[in-house]
Amino acid sequence: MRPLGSPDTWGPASIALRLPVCGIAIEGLSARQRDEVARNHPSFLAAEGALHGTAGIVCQAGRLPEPLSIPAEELTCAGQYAPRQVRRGGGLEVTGINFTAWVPLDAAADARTPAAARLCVAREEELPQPMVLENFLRILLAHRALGFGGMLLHSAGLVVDGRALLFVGRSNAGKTTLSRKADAAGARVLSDDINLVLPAADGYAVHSVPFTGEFRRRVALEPGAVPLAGILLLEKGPRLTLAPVGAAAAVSALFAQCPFVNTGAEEAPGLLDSLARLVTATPVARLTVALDDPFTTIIDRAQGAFAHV
Amino acid sequence: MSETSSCRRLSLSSRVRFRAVGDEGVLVHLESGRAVVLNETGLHILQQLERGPRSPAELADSLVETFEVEASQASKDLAAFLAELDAEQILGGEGKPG
Repeated sequence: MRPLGSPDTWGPASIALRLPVCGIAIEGLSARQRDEVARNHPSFLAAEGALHGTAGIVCQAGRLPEPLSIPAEELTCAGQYAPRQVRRGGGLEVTGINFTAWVPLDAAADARTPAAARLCVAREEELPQPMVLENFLRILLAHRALGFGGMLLHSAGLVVDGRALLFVGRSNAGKTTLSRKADAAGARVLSDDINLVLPAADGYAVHSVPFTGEFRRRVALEPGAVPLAGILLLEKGPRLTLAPVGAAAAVSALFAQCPFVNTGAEEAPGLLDSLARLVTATPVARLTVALDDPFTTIIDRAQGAFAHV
Repeated sequence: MSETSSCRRLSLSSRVRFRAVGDEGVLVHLESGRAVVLNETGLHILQQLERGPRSPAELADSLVETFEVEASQASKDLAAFLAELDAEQILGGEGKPG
């Protein structure tokens, strides 16, 4: 299937989002869907026509003939939600909870020609929902980032003294708890769930993304990139500890936290290469945090580990 | 006698990838996204298997030659490592789907 034809659409409305690695225009929306997407992602809206003539993505919204009935366990990997991805030709067929999608992987022959994507749901209200649109964008960005030498990382991204610290960990590692402490202390939280890391002129930078976990939905996003100061492999423990991590151990730990691309035979080698470059340029340490450790103490310890960099 | 200690020629499963990182290596399982760190010896064994199927005896000889260890020690360490790889379904074998 390469669903580039004319699916049954939801309406004539469209919306454009400016994402860190590409712009995306979503067409075939109902007015209600467009308004909901605009409400959910105000920081990423692009002006009508602003993406025309750029190498971006045009996504056709479409209707599924009936709701999907896929058992949740079939969309789970290692305890985490994992939409099914099947590579066909130049893209991915994706099946997730309440949606199917086509994600283009090949670069367009003409750098100014947008690549075609598709996102289909059975009910009008489903498309703007985070479980649908945000997961579609997560998968899209995860694959696009690889082409830029970057990656999505399951992490809490906090800005301290103008530089980002990424606290990387699996679900329940304490990312949202730490983000709450950071927010209460007045620090900027980029995301408590997934952050986009891309090479920058001087090292790496963390970019704002339109999907931000449960904590961040309550806070307005500030688009843009923040220089990456360091990465901490976050774990819960009885007391605050910090330990150095070797390059291979860092790559191993980070690989497991790169969703959507770390199970792909075609993507894994490139992801390993990108992570190896990342840990060469960016300090990585292992941080164990107790539930009642104050934010300032955690940050002092984390920054202390990277003070020599 | 286990499969890996026989004359079976071993290869890497198509479900894994690995990469050298410094003197160590990182091995990833594509089905789970899980990754493990390999020490220098483990990395060497996987690099040998990447070049083509090898018997345990050939791998042991390579360890002796590269790391200047006693043959008996190399065989013992190799058997333990191959058993771990086999348990994790990281090994394929000739005539056996990877």
